[in-house]
Amino acid sequence: MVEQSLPLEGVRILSITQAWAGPYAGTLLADWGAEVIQVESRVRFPAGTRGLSVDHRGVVPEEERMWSRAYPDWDGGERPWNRYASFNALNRNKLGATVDHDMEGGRDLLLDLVSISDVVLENHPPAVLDDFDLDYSHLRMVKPDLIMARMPGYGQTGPYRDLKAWGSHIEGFIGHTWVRSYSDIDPSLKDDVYPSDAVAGITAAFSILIALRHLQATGEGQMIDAPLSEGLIPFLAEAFVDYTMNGRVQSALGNADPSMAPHSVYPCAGDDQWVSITVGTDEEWEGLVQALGHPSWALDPKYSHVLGRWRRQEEIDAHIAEWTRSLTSRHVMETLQAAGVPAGMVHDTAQAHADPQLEALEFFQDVTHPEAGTHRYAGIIGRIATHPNRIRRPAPCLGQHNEYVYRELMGLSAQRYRELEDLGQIGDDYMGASR
Amino acid sequence: MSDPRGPLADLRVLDLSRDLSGAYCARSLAAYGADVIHVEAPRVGSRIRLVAPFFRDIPHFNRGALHNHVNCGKRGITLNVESGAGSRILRELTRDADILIEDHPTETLEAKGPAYEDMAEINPHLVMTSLSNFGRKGPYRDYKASELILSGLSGPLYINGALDREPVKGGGRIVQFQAGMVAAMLTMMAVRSRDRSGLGAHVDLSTMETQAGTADRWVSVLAFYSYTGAIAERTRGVVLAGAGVVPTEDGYVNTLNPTNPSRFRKILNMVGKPELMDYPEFADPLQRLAMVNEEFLLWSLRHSTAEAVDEGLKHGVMIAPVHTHETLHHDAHMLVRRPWVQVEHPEMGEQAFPVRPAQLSGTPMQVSRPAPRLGEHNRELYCGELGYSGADLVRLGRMGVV
Repeated sequence: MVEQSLPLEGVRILSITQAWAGPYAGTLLADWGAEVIQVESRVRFPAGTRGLSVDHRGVVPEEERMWSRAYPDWDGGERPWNRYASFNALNRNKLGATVDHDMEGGRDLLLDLVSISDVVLENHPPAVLDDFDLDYSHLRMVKPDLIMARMPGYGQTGPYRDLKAWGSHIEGFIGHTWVRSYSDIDPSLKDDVYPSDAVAGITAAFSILIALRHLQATGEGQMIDAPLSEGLIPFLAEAFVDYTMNGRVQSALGNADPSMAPHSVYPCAGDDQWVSITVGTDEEWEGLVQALGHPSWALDPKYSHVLGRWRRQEEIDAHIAEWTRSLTSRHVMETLQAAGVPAGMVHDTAQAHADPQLEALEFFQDVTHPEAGTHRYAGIIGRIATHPNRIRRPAPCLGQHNEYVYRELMGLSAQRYRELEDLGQIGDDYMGASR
Repeated sequence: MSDPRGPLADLRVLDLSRDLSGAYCARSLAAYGADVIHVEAPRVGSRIRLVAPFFRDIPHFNRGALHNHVNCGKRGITLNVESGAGSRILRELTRDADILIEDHPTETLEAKGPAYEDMAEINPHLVMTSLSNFGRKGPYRDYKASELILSGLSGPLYINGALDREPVKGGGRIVQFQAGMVAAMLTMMAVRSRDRSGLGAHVDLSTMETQAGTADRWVSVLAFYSYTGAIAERTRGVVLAGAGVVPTEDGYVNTLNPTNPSRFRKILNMVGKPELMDYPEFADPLQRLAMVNEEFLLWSLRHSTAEAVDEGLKHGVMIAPVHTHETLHHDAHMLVRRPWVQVEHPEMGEQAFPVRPAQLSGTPMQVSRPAPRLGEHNRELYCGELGYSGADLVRLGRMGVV
């Protein structure tokens, strides 16, 4: 077997992205060899992307310690934007440069960057670029075969075009909030989840690969409209088509399944520990009864068939919880899987880090970041044997690769580079303003 | 040169998937023009055919919503790939294929199913994508899985729900769909490599990795643990302005907003209470949040969902409708975007499937045919392309091969 270079080597992507969905798309492509340049403004602090605030220097107060405030050992240091856990986890394998298209000389500088790129990736509301004539039709003037992927909340057309949205809003819009979470609570009590961010990121990365193949065959670029709202809609097709086909409006089922029972999450020994058990067939039910030691309640013939179990799942769940409550989630999982019953720990993040299966897949990887130190991160997803792949570089510090991008790639003179520094375009910190 | 059928029109895909992820991966390629042949077990077909809901609620293996959604745009044949004759036919099919997608459990795969080494010997240009729940090695390799188990053992289930209750799953089968989408992306990586080198490749992907590495906050909270040693919990209460899902006169909106001063001003202007900014209590961050959220609720209860969204647009406040799948179909924005296709099915008439996750201006997605009925293209493939006679086909049918 001959080892080959990564499939996207030689493809340069300009990433004008924030938060999760846009950066994730860029990371998936960077992981497989694309040179992704994350360009950022020194004036507008991207709250939620490089931390919640530019001012979060030093140690995080006890009462504000939550995952969205995570710095190494809770210390933001002098330049907290370079030590932010979420950014560093989401932006590995990329380069970092600074430019602000809203500042003097910024639009031209951004166009120069576009002219040396194959792909532009962005996930802002359309107006952020359109208001500066940086939409696809204008970018094409400097790079006629450009591929541009745009990932706003709702797309480049339609009445909600300019409505700002995070993943949580999108979950509501596409009907996911309605069909997810506990079945016995009012929708106003539901928490916010964000699968649409991940899915839009994967969708954009896949779409860019399709566009690159078209480019290779025809020499033509194109514009990709991959809004946060539309990536997840195909994933909820059962509810979507049940309405269009049968006129039925599906609602939340909690952890239940329309055709399996028992099918839930059960409490285990320890603080906030859980195991999921899902019984799909009569054989699996018999395996469960056997693992439980044939208790008298389980021998009731009403439970021998799925319909009977489905109708009485609350009683069954109570019995199973009695059993799981005193056992560790790992013990329940291993015991039931050995008996042929689908069961799985509900991992907290410590358990995920210690998981032997992820270990066997060599999933996690230690990466050393120049300002955050060495930490363990989620690694590359999937493997292609001919293309061995590990994380090659940490997430970039703000402006870390300005020299490389502007001097080496773009060929600017030392004098011009200094001028751009003086203008505030090029630098490695934020210029006072915190948005 | 551009092929009107799409940028993947030169690629033939053998889709040996039995479950959702592989089928969705193959469908994603079909939508860009690939000639996808879904190879199913004779008589029973893919498991997806048995998943409810069905057309008019009558169970029928050609009329399931999920089957039609993930298999439209494909041709379909039946073949018992685990039989001797079947595996010989699979080799013939593989010789002319560009991509093979399979999700056979590892033990079966080693014994009888397609092994990459064998397939690469027949066709060194082949891109083969193997999907599994937990991977092709390791202690969970043969574990049984389901959507709920995959979500908890690999992904963010633990942090979804309320702190004082059990973790609660997402809707439908989004974890399995996501694995299929990642598989399609990695398959295209391997296709790009092949386009350049002429050499095939083996993509090996587990659903577990797609969840362990998902940007649905999980990679962030995994790093949160590495950075601080602290474990992310489920939601403890409201921490943002607007307060998430909020009732309106006729439904609900999601109004999560950042807690910065400019956003507070926008919200208070929208609800007609800008003077609150001058109250002394407003200086206190917690009281401020409570005041804004209370005023928002009083306002939203006097507005319809559609009115509230309009006002949000006007005032730069983040508001989204919380739709059911019924109200979604009447939403003004959805009626413009229409991210679905109408497919004419011989047994169900015209049906809509939401197949389009992105719009590509130069190479739009196309769905050229409905999901195949079980074995619909046996004659076309076996007789028309592989050169078997009608009598051969009958014989193979009797042997249980086709």
